[in-house]
Amino acid sequence: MGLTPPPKLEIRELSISFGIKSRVHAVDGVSLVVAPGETVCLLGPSGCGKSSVLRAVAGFVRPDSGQVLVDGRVVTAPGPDRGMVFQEYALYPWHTVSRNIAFGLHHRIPDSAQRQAVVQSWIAKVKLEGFEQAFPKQLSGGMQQRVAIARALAPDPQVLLMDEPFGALDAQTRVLMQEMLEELIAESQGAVVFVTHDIDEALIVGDTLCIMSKRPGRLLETFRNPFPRPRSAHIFEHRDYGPAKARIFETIRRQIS
Amino acid sequence: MRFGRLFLSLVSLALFCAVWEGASRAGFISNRLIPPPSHVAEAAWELLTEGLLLRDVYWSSRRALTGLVVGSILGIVVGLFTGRVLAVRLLLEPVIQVLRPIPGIAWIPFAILWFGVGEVPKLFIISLGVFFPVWLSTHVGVQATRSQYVEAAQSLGLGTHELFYRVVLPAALPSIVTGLRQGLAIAFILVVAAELTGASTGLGNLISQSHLTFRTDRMLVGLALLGVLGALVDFGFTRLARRLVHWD
Repeated sequence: MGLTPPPKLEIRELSISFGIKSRVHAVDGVSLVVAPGETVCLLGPSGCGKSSVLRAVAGFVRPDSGQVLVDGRVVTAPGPDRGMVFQEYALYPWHTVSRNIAFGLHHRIPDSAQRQAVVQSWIAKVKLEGFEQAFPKQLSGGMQQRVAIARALAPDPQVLLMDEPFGALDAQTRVLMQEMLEELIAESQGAVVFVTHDIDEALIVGDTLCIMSKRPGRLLETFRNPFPRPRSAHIFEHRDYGPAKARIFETIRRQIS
Repeated sequence: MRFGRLFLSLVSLALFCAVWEGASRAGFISNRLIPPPSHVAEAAWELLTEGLLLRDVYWSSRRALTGLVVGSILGIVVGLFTGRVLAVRLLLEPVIQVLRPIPGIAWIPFAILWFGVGEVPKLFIISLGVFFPVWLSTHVGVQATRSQYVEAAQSLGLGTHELFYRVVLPAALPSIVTGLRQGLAIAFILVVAAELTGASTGLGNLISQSHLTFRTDRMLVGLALLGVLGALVDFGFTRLARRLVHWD
């Protein structure tokens, strides 16, 4: 028991609601622990509050009650210890690929030559060599999202938050992106929280799959991913894959119908 | 291709002048009320050799540009704050919205009362006229900033004022540029209005002075210069703007 590392990210009894006149109860008492190096997928029907949990961890929304702790410190506002990747990329269209990736590095690495070296290493990791000076609108969706991931990871955050990051991509690109993400975070000791409604995606990306109920979102069930890292699309061919997916789907199905 | 279009533009203008000249010589239009291009050209040459032409172009441009710069800076600064800071918006927006529909020229009598004659009332009127469209476009541009741009920046560790000039300002820039272009057009209108009502230099003054002496040819020189100057400045501005907001 003494070997269990302290959690990287801890969510305690998080409740969130929106609206001024008629309040919508979005999240109800969600608790979650993410270990260093662990990726947790939040799965659930759309509108179940999984994005709200993520946004509370990011510090964009203030919960009604409950706490978010990163390395034991309570989160009160957005900060560079928690990197964020959006479904719509949210790259700065006025900056090149290089400058987008460098965007969060100015305080951390004041020297521009050193900063450029870090940027270049990230460009190599997300396989965008030759596109350093391109602007976002010149890139495909998958390439843009690779820039966004590099931008979020370059400042070396403790927690990486991804809000349906591959939801806008075509099926083939999505799988390639999932595999690339697996490589990028393989050696990281940070925590990853990944929101998706795609079970296939969750089984590639997530070490732990947390299934949320429909609104108000509660944590229904937690699955350990039966497939060990590093995972790729090859898990789809495994004989245990079908049953694992079916089990998760049954839990979600009860929420939709 | 580009030269082809420039050539066509010149052909279009030449054709316009030719028809005008022809109509004038054929006696369809009065030479006294609307002198033909050839007379206007003569008058322009005369003004040029007298040194008046360049002087008037210089003063009108200078006034329009100064007013444009002052009005734009104020419009952008105020627009950034009303667009982003709720308290400032609640405080200022109603006032600006009520002052905004007042036509710039309506301020001229007051400007003269307050600031007398000279450059100050002209600067006041032009800056004021430029301020409103630039403020509005900045304000709207800031308010329309995608919230994810701001959130991404906050997650990358940007502080409040850094957020302002690294995210909000560039995000609003395409909208600001639209306002600046409107401001440019308004500056041209108001500089002439201001010069018509009291100035000893400038194209507006050239027109009003020539009017007193019934030199319709010189009046048309003033009008033609305003047209050409305005078109050139707008052309230059759009090209500059396209480079400035290349991503839009």
